[in-house]
Amino acid sequence: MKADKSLLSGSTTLLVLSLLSGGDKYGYQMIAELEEKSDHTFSMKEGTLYPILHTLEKSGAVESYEKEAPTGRTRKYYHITKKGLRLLGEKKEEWASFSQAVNAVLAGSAPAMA
Amino acid sequence: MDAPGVPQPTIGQFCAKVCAWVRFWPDHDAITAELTAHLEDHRDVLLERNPALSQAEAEAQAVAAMGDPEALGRELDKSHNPLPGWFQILFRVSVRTALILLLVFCFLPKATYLYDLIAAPPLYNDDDTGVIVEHYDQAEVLADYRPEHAVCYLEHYTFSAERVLVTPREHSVTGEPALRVSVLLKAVHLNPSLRCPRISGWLWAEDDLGNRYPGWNQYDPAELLHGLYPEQAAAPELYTTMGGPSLQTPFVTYYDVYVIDVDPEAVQLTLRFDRYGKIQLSFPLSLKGGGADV
Repeated sequence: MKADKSLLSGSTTLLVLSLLSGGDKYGYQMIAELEEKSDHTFSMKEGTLYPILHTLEKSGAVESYEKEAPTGRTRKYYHITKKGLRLLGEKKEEWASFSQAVNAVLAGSAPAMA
Repeated sequence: MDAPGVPQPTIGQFCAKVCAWVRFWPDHDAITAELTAHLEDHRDVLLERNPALSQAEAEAQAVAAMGDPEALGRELDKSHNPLPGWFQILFRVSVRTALILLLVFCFLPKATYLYDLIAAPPLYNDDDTGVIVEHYDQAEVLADYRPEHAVCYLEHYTFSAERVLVTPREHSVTGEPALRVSVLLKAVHLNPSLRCPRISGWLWAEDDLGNRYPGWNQYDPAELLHGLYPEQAAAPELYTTMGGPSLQTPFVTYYDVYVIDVDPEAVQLTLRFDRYGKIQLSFPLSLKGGGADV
């Protein structure tokens, strides 16, 4: 099942930071990993990733550096900073309370749906 | 996807379209490089998964997956704001310029001084003949010349008298008018560990009238002997040949040697070194200028 675009947009930062917390990655690698881990649920427009990465870099949540990828090409790698890890923690909490609230509403309205 | 028949832009065209919306052009190259790398990676994966695809088809699919270049460009423009961007560049340029100016103003005079020192090192000691050379225009110079053939060879060294400078000395020890004769000696040697042979205290001079001008290393033992045996040993003559090394380089050593209280009647002065008995160095120098007979 493909996710609704609007559902995805708010949580992209969380997903990007979460991916980077597992190690330094370059853009395409992150897209490929996201698709693979979500079993192709998250197939957003790939370009969307870059404004997010550049904004995170500007705010100091990630840093970038150039390095040769295993393919032999030079790639721009992103690395999560301490500030980024703190932001990830906040975003995770936000997501938990948000999903909890959504689940609570869904649970309350469940009998009516049945 | 675009309608059939409308060709997808190539990777280069896509990046150009994105960058057209990013006002801060100094970042265009970095954005283009990053997006190109992404699109090439995706294209290669598509080609690997589906070998039936042509290069152009795979590229078109990769470009389509990126989404709308205008939307992407507009979003990137927000994080590549020209104002802070230009400010950052201006700041960097200012800091670099300030550093360069600081280096130039602080270190250039020192560097020039060092260069001058290396290119034309002072050959005389400041507190010896250096004073006369520095105030040359005000000094009364009786003779100033480079002696011809004033070369002596001693073991590993080649000694030569490079310049003779004769000036009057009004306030001599005896109160009589006298001459001050400065000799710039040069010692050349091939072995740097042999630099600066210790000859200066042992140099002494004799003029054509028979007056002797001892060096200080001749005075000291004579004074000691006279102190111990005042009746047998004669009172020492005051030393009047002085000076010492003025410039040491690995292969060349200069000596600022000078003789004071030289008899003004004398026309020739011979500078000698005979520490080990026989005369080892001998420079006959004219006191009237011109070349000296060797």
